[in-house]
Amino acid sequence: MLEKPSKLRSAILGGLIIGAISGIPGLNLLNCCCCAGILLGGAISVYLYRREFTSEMPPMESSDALILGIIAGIVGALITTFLSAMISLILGPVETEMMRNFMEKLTQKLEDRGSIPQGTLDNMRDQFEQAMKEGGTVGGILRSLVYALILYPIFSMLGGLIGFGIFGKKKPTAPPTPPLQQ
Amino acid sequence: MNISFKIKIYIIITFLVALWCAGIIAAPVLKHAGLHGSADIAYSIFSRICHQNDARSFHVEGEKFGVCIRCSAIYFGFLAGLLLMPLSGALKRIRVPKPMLIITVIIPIFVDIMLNNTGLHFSTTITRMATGLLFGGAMPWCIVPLFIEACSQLINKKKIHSPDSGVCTYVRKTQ
Repeated sequence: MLEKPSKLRSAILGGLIIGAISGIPGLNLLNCCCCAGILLGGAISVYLYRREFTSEMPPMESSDALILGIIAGIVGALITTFLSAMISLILGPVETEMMRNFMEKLTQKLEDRGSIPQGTLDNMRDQFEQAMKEGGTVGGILRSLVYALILYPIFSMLGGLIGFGIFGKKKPTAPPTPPLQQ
Repeated sequence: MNISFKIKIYIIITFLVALWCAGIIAAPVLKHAGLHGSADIAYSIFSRICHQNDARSFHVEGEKFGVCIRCSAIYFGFLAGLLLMPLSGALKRIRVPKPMLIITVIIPIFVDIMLNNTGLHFSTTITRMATGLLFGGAMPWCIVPLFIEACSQLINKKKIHSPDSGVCTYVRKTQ
């Protein structure tokens, strides 16, 4: 029987998804719904890992999902912190102002439609200011990294277990029937 | 699987979830008590996972919870579900949840969020709480059995080295 496939590729891909969702401004709003982006990353890493199994391999176990989720969370935390720091370091005052204007217009539109409550724009403005202030200092980046390294692996692990519960063990496929001898 | 092992894992999970829920309430209590430094740390940690919108949060002494109503419902629902698990005998025999159960409890919360964002129906405190409690309350039955099974697998696996191939493999320890 063959060995199980390596977890690293799937975990890194899951971590990339977590990092992209959590680190890119705008997309990170998805995490406001109980870390949906992080849960999703953990679940996707399990889905990708499950696809690598063949009928000759032992079945995927819940411990695999647990480990995958934790690794994806750690990778995601590192990518998120890196992305956030890079965005605040690279963006100059002009780009920051452009991004702020874009976010404010989007939030204002959602507020007007009633999709988000009144006062969200002010909250977002405060959070944006805070993120830009923190992102620019070494202490702020380290603090963000510590928080992310604690929270992301936990939620990603939960996402991994939920993903394992949904996608389940891969059923062994029937071996191909040999061609009939003439 | 040893029953005492399952109970140990269950107690650890329950303790950690209770601590998490206590933190959600501790944030406003600390702020009200004038301990702004500790309150800021608590709010800062929870800000990573929730929008903490004042209009969509429960309040204690005029200060908002660490997380919004929906998130509070999920976490407190999860804790309530955890506390109810032993009563249902779920710890005696570990069953891997059916995928349909997980999907069924995800759908209402997903629909509530999507309808609200598209403007077709505006979610209220009741819908946020109901969908959050349903999702959070059902999750222990989905996650805890898998978590206990995973911990058991990790502990029972013994690392050995095959002398002839040099390949590192894992085998399950026999009882």
